[in-house]
Amino acid sequence: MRQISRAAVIWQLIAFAAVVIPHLDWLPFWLIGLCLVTPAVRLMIHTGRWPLPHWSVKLVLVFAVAAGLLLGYSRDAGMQTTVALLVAGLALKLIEIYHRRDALVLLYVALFVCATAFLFHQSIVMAFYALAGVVLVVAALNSIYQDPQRADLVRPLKRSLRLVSLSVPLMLVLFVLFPRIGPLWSVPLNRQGAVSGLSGTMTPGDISRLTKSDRLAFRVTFDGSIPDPTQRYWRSLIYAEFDGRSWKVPSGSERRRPGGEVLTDYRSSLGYEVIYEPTNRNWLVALDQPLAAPQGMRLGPGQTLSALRPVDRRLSYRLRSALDYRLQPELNERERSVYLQLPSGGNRLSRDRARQWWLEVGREPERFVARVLERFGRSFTYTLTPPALGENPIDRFLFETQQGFCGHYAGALTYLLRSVGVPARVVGGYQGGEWNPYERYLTVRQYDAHAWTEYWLEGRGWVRVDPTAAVSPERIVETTDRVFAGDPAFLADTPLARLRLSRNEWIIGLRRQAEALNYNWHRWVLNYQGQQMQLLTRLMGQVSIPKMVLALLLPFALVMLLMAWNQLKGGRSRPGDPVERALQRLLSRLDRLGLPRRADETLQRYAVRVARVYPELEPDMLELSRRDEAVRYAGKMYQKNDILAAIQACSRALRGVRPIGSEMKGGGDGD
Amino acid sequence: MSWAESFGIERISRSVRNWSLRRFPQRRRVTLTQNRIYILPSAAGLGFILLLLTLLLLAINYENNLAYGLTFLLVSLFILSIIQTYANLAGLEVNALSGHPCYAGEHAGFTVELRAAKGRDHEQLVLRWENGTPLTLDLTDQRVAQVDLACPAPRRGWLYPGALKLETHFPLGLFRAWTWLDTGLRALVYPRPIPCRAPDTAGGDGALDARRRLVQGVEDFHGFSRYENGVSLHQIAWKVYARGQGLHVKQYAGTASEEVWLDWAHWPASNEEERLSGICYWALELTQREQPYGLRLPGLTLAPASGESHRLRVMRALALFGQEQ
Repeated sequence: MRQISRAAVIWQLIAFAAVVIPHLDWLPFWLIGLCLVTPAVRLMIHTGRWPLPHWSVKLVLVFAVAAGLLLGYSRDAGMQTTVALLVAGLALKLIEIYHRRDALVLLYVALFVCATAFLFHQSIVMAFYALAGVVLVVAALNSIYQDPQRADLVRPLKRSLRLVSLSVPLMLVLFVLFPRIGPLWSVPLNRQGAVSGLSGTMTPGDISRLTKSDRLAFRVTFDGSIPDPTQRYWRSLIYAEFDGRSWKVPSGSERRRPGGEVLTDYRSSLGYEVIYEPTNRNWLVALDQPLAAPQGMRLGPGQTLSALRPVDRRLSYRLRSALDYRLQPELNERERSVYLQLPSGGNRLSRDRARQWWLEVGREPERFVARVLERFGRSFTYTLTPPALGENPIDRFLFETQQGFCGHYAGALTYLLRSVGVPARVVGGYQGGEWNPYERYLTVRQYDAHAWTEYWLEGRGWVRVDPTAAVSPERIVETTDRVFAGDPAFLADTPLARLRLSRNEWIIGLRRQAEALNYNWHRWVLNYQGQQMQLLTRLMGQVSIPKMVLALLLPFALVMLLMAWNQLKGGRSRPGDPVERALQRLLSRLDRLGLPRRADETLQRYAVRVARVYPELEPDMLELSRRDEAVRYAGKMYQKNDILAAIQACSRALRGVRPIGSEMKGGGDGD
Repeated sequence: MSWAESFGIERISRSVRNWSLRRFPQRRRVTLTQNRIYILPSAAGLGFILLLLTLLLLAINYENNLAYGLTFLLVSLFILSIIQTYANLAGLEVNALSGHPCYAGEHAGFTVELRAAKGRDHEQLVLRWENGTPLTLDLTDQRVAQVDLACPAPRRGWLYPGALKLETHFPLGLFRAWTWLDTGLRALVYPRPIPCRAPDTAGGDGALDARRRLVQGVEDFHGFSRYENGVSLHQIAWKVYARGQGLHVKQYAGTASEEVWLDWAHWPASNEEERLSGICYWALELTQREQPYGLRLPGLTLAPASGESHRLRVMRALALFGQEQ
């Protein structure tokens, strides 16, 4: 069993640190402590201050770590536990690396841990960090195969850099071509408290929470033209149930849950692709109104799209939506009762006023809505910090505070409609989004969360009405950040993000370009499986297995050839003795002049021969040969610098020499 | 131990080796090229493949494209290290120079010269004879290296060390590249010298009591004779030289008057090898004492003489006694 060198031990420590650092943000504190202590212990052993630990010490450590992991992670057995276990194993193994095999185990596990970092972070920075990590681990791997006597830290790094940089082109080919298949089995990631986005209940105040966050919700690219800002309604949830205070997504028994709906009379449809950020919730977004659910998804009650299981990783899907449509022209009894549901008591004032208006407009729902909106537009204000509403929130909002945001308006309008017998519902989702002109995609952030109302008309189906537009039209037309830029409550939790609201065109341009880069990263790298087929079809026409194999083999053969040539051609100039190099240069220039030095020729005889052909070179060449001999045979009479000087003198003299054959003009010029 | 051996395919590997040795004529000087370099994943390489499969599984199950990327980077690295490991052997010039004699039971040394390919480094080359001890060397700063490779020599006679194996795992240990060379080198193995009592049956043509004669020979100063080239420096009469009377050689009674013979026929030992060992011991002993001696073996007689060349002749005769030359 081979022992590894001291330099290799240092490399193991470096490799360990490199792969553990990305995990520091979620590892339990005691494990981070362990990761700090064991390298220190190894260094003490390395410098000879401590002996290698006794086996009993190791045993105790192993049990302590196992106990710690069991205690901390007993409830969920996900990837985190596995990674924590591996990190703990690495930290402990570090103490006892002594033989090559120990180091191999350490480094292979380190590579795996390096890959698992991508389960937690997927930014561009992280990718480059991991690449650097691989370089360091490969250097460590190289170091254990180095001469144990050679305590060299730099050589492995150089070699590793060369190897990894040569591997990158091949990696890209594999990345583009390797067919992506779905998961072989389901592997839930457990990430505590990562539930985000819209909530299943809407109590006025909820969407306000979202407007404080600039987190990315999703991004969209459209196949054709972008829909008008007033049509960018991204529906996600139907709040059909009202309990007097909050609106809820109906759950529980089938009787209370509305089913799918019928979409008819649409003239054209718009195709688009959504890259949806993970929320750990099932629901997704679709532009009003989606035609059909993609594979693995479901179009549920009220045309809301949802995934079959909670979205715990970034998801990309393609959809088609109709902008002009008729939705559910017929409403059955069950649906009618769901969408007319109201708590029996409370908000008496609103009910009475609604009935009064209803009679005034001649029981016409459209006129009723117009009436309410007109009232909203006259005396209501839009704010992100509305006063508290208390016992009868609709009454208080409509007749006292008259301040609120989308949730308040949508809720109040729906309440009023239901109380006069018009089926209505609150739709939750996002509205608007920021258009990135560089990469032509729409970014929708959490602060674009929105709520609006749909009411049902006999023969016409569901009709969307956005009461917020009546109060604050710019909320719909402009991007949210522009509307709220002056409101201190907007993005209150993330002060840095307010920078994003700068009106400086240059900063905006820069920011958009950074976002475009990030978007491309998400689209082309993190969600490559969504693009692969399209890309391959564009690159090679009809995708077939022989073509794929060929496309895989050709670049491989090419890179291998290039590399083999690079490796084996030989003659690569070695940085060695400066005198030797200068002499080689001089000789090759003389060679080009048609005077090659013969293998059996001493420098002195060669100098004489050169001097015969080029008399102007004579003094310098002879001096060079004299000094060369002096160094060789007389020891210290001349130093190497003298030879170098002589060589340089020859080179200078050579510069003035014209080759004898006129066809070799310029052959003696500098290199 | 290579994984091939541990998997019990030693026999296959042996026949592959023999086949590979048959493909090329015996040569002292060989430049390694692709048709004699073999390369297979090492045990560590197989472990690495396992790691790659695990990583691929991780990437597939989490649909994580960055994990895919890292996996593919390592796959590329694995494939490129084939060339790297191969290049570590390719172009190397191996020059089997000579084998050095030794005594049975010791290790014979074989001098092998390695010359790096032009402009390239060769690191961590492992050289070994079939049964010999491995030797690792780097050809980085120095372009040529001469190494003495040991091979155990259990029996006297010619030692053929078998095939020379050159192996390397560099740079990442994922692959093992190797070659076998039939160098045709051999080394002479002398009988193992075993101290014994010399036979004391005296006689004109028989074996002699070497010990008695020796004592006498060293003690009895006889006179001087003129110096001739090749005489041992120990025998020069330095005092005479210091007096300015030229170089003279001291003559001893034993060396001059009586001939010492190491005679096979009269050697008191039970078996052949013991007998040779005893004769060998005394030959060395007499050489060290600069006592001329002769050797009589069945079918071979070496006239009494002293000096290095005589010793070599005697040792060679002992080593090859009873063996085809």
